[in-house]
Amino acid sequence: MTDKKLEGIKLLLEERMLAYDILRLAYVEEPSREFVKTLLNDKLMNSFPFIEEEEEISAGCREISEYLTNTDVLEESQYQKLHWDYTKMFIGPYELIAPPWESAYTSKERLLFQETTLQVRNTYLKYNFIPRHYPHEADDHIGLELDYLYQLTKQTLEAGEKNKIQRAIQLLEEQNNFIKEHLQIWISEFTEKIINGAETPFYRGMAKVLKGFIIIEPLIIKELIETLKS
Amino acid sequence: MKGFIEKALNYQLERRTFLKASAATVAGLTLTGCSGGLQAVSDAVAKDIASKEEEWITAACWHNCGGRCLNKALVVDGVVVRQKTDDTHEDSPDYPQQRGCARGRSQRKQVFGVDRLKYPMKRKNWAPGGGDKELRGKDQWVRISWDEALDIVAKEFIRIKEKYGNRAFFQGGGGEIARTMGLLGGYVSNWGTTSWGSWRWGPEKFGMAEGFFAHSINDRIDLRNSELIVIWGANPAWSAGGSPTYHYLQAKKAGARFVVIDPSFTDTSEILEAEWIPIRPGTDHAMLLGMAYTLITEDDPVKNPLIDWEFLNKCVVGFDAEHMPEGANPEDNLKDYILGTYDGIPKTPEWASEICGVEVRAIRKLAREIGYTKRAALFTGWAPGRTHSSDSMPQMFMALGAMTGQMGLSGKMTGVSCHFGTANGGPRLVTNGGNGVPGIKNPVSDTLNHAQMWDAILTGKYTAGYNDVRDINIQLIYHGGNAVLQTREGMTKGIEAHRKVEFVVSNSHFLTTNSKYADVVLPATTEWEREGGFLTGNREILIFYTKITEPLYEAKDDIWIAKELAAKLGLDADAVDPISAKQKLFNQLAGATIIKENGNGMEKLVTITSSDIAQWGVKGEPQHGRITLKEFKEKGMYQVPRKPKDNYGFIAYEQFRKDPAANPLNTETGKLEIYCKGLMELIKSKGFTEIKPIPTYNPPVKGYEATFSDWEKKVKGEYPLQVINPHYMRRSHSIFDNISWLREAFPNPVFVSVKDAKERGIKHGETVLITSEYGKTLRMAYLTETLMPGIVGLPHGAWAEIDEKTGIDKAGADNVLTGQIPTGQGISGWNTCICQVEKWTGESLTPDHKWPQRIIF
Ligand code: SF4
Repeated sequence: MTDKKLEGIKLLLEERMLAYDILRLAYVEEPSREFVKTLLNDKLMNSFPFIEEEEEISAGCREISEYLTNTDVLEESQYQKLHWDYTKMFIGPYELIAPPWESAYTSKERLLFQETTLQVRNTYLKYNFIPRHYPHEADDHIGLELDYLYQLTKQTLEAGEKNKIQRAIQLLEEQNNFIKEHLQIWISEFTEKIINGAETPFYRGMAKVLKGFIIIEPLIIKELIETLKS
Repeated sequence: MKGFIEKALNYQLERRTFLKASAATVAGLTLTGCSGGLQAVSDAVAKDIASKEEEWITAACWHNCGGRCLNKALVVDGVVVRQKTDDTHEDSPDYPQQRGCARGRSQRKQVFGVDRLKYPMKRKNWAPGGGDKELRGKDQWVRISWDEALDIVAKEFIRIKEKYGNRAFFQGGGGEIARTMGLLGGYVSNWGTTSWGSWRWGPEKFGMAEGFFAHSINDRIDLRNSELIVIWGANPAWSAGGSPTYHYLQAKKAGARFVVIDPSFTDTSEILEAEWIPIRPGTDHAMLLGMAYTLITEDDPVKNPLIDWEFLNKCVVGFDAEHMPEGANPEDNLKDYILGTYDGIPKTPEWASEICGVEVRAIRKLAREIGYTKRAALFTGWAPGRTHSSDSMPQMFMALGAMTGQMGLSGKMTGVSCHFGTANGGPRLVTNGGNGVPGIKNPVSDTLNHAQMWDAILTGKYTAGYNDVRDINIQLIYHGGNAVLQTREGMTKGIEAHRKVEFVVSNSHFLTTNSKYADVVLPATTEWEREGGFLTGNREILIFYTKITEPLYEAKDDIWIAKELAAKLGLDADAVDPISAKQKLFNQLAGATIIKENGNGMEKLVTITSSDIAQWGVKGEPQHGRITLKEFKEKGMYQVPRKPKDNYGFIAYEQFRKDPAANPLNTETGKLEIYCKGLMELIKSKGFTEIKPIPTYNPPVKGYEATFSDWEKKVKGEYPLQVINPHYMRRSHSIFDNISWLREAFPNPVFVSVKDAKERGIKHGETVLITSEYGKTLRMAYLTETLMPGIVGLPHGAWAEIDEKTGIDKAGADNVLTGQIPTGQGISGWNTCICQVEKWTGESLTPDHKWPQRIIF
C-alpha cells in the first residue's frame, strides 16, 4: 500500500470521526450553548464530512447553516425553542415524538430494554464499553450507538497509525455489521419522525445529515476495507 | 464515481487543517459526566456483564384490578425477554391456577414503555409562587437534576408554610410523602368512598361487611351448594380478573341458576347463561322495595312461606312494629313504610317499576323465587352503591336477605361479592406480616371529601361535619401516588383547582393526568424496579415478588423521594425511612402466617434458617414454617390447596344465626339492623345529606328522575340519558391506558343502545359528543342491544386528553362528565350521572391505538 493511500485512509477516518463526533453530540443530550456556538463559529455544517457526496447530508447541512445564520440561536427565546425541541422529541414528559432508542422501533410497541438492547449491549461489551449509566439507561440510544461507532473509528485510526492493518480491518468490519444490523434498521423511521415532528430546522437538518451519513457509511467502510486488504 | 479515498486525497490542505481544528474544538465539548455516552470498563467487568444468565423471576402485578395473579418474567440482566403466568401446579376447580389477564401480560409494556418519565422535570414557565399558572397542562418542560428538583420542592414547601401554614398543603395520595409532610407539621388529606360507594362505611353500622376487608358471604366451595345465585350490579368477567368468574362457573356446573340485574347484558351474564334483568342505574333500591312488597303481601307462613320469620324474629330489628329497638318510634318500621301505612305510598312493584324500569312481572317473580328457594346467594357488587344519595340502599339489600333468611347457612348468603372477594368470602388463609415501620402522625385534622375537594380548593370552604363548614386555603398540592385528578369526580373543577394553587408536584411513572397539570414531576420506580414485596388477592394466595430490573433512568422509589425531601427540609430523614428495603421485605416474610391444618388459628408460613438471615444481611431469628424461603421465592406464590369438606370453608353469620345472643354482631343492638340509628347518625355527622333509620328510597341527585324536566308528565330534560362507568379490560382504573396493544384490543368506545342511537341518527363507529352539565367528551359509538335504552356506558379511567381551545376531551374520560356532588357518607356517585349524546360534526376520532403522537405546540 502506498503512503498516499494510507494518508487517504487516515483522512477518511478523520472525516468519519468528525461526523460521528458532531452527530453523537447532537443526539446524546439537549443542545448546549457551547455546542451551538461551535457549530456557528466554525461554520462546521458548511463543510460537514461528505457534504458533497450525499444529497441528504448536503440538504441537512444547508438547512442547519441557514438556520444558524438567520436565527440568533444564542438569544434566550430562540435557544429555549431549540432546547424544547430536543426535550419534547427525545426526553418527554409528553409522549415522545421520536423515541431515540432502537428498541422502540424493533419492538413495534415503543418499548425500552428489549432483545435489541441486549444485542447492542453485548456488542459494546466486546470492546469493553458500557453506557455511563448502565444498567439504568437503555444501551441502544442513538447517542450511544453513534458514540460506539465514534469510538471504533477512533480505534481504527489508532490501529492504522500503528500499522495494525488486520486489526483495522476487523474494526471496520465490526462497524459495518453494527450499522447494518442496527442503525440501518431504524434510522429512516427515526429520522422521518424527527423531520415531521421537529419545530426547528436544526433538528430537521440533523435528521437528514444522520440519515444520509448512515446511508453512505457502508460504502465508505467497504472502500476502506478493500483498500486496506489490497 | 470517484472513490472516497481519492476524493479525500484531492482535498486541499485547507480541508486538512479544518478537519484538525474542528476535531479539536468538537472534542473539547465532549460528553459531560452527567450526560450519556459510553465508558470503557475492564475486561473483568465486561465479561461479568456479558455472562449474565436468564432466569425466571416472580414479577409484581400490583394494580387495583379486582384480581390477583401470578406473573413471571424471564430476565436477562434486567431485560425481560418473556412473561408467563401461573404454572406452579396443575389447574383444577378446587385448586385453580392464578392466571393473568391481558393487562398483567402487558405489564412489561408498561414498565418499559418509552414514554416512562425518566428524569425530574419542571414546567418551563414555573417560578416560585407558580409563575404563569394557567400554563399548567400545556407548558413546555425542562429536564432538571434531582438536586434541583428537590430544592425547588423543599423551598416551595417552606415558603408556603411560612406564608399560609400547614393547612395550605394538600396531599393527593402516596403514603411515603405523607410521612415527610407529617413530620413537617401536617397536611390536609382527602377521603371518600372510592370504589365502595355507599357500601363503604354504612354496612358495619347495620351488621354487614363492606366486602373487601371482610366478607358477609360464604366461600367459593360452599357456593356450589346454592341453587339460585343472584348477582346485582357486578360483572366480574370484566372487573375481577383471575378466577372469580371461574368460581361462578363451578356453581353453575353444580346446578345453580343465575340471575343478573344490571343495566347491560354483560359477559358475566353470557358465561353463566344468566337470566338478565335490565335495570336503570341508581334505582336498585326501588326494585328491592318492590320485591319486599311482593314478599310481604304474598307471604303465608303455611301456604306460601316466602319470609323467614324465624330468622327475622331471632336475628333482626326494625322489620315491623313488633321488632323495634328500644326507644324507636314503632311507626318507623320497614314493613309499614313498604306498605305505605303512614306515607300513603305502597312501594308496590308497579311503583318500583316506574322508577327502575324493571317489568313488574320480573320484580314479583324474582322476589318469589328468592323467597321459596331453599338455598340462594344474594350478591351485589359495589357499583349500585357508587350512586349519589344511596346510603340506605345497602341496608335494603341486607333487608331482602334477612327477610328471606338467605344468610348464615350452607348455600345461603347475602352480601357484597366483588373485587378480590368475588364468590369467595372468608378471612384470609395466608397472609404476610407487617414491615415494621412505625406510622407518622399527621397533626392536621382537616380532610376533604373527594366529592367536594376541588370545590373546596376553589371556594376556600369545606364541610367538616354536621353544621360545620370551615375555611381552607390550599396552595400546594403533592401527588405522591394515586390518580385523584383523573379518577375523582369533577375533573374540570379539578384542573381549575390545580391551576389556582401556588405549587403542584407529582411523582409518577408517566405523564399521568396528575402530573400533566403539575409544576414539577418526579419519576418514580414501578414495583418491578424495587426490592420486592407481597401481594394478596383472593383469600387462598400470597404472592412474593422480587426485583426484575434496576430503576429505569433516574426513577427513584417514592420512599427515597420522601426521605431526600425530608433531608432538604431539615427534618429527620431516618424517621421517614427507618428500615432498609431488604429488612422490610424480610419482616413481612418472617411475619407471614398460614391457617393451621385443622382450620383453627394461624401459624408461621416460612421456614427461615440462620444462613438465610446471614445471606440477606438482615436482623431476625430463625423460624420453622410450611415452606422454605428458597422454595417460596422460586415459586413466587403460596396457595392453600382446597377441596370440598376441608377445614378452610367459611359460612358467614353461621354462629350468629345459630345463637345471636351468644354471638352478637358488632352493631348497637347486636342484631342485623333494618332500623339503624347508628347509620342515620353516621350519615348526619358527615354534614351533607340525611337519611331515615330505615331504608327509605331517596331519589338520587343526577339519577333517573333527574333526566326529566317534568317527572309527573314524563317530559325529558336537557340531559335525558344516564351514564354508567363499566370497568374496562383495557385498564385497571386508569393504569395501562397508554399501552398500545391493550388500546388495540380494547378500543374504549362509548356503549349506546341501538334505540337511543337510532333516535339520534348515530351509526355504529361514528364519533359522538357526550355532554353533561360539567363537561364534554368524544368517543366512538358502539351500538348494542345489550344495553338498556336510556343508558350510556362510558368505560372508567381513560386518560383525559382535553383540547385546550374547545375544552372538549377526546379520550372519553369519565370524570369530565361528573361534578362535585357530596351526598350522604361522602359518596363518590359515578354511576349517577346524566348526559346527552349527539353526532359529532367535527373531525372523527381515529382509533386510540393509532393516535398520532401528542403534539402540543
Ligand atoms: S387480573 Fe389483575 S393481577 Fe391478574 S393479571 Fe390482570 S391485572 Fe394482573
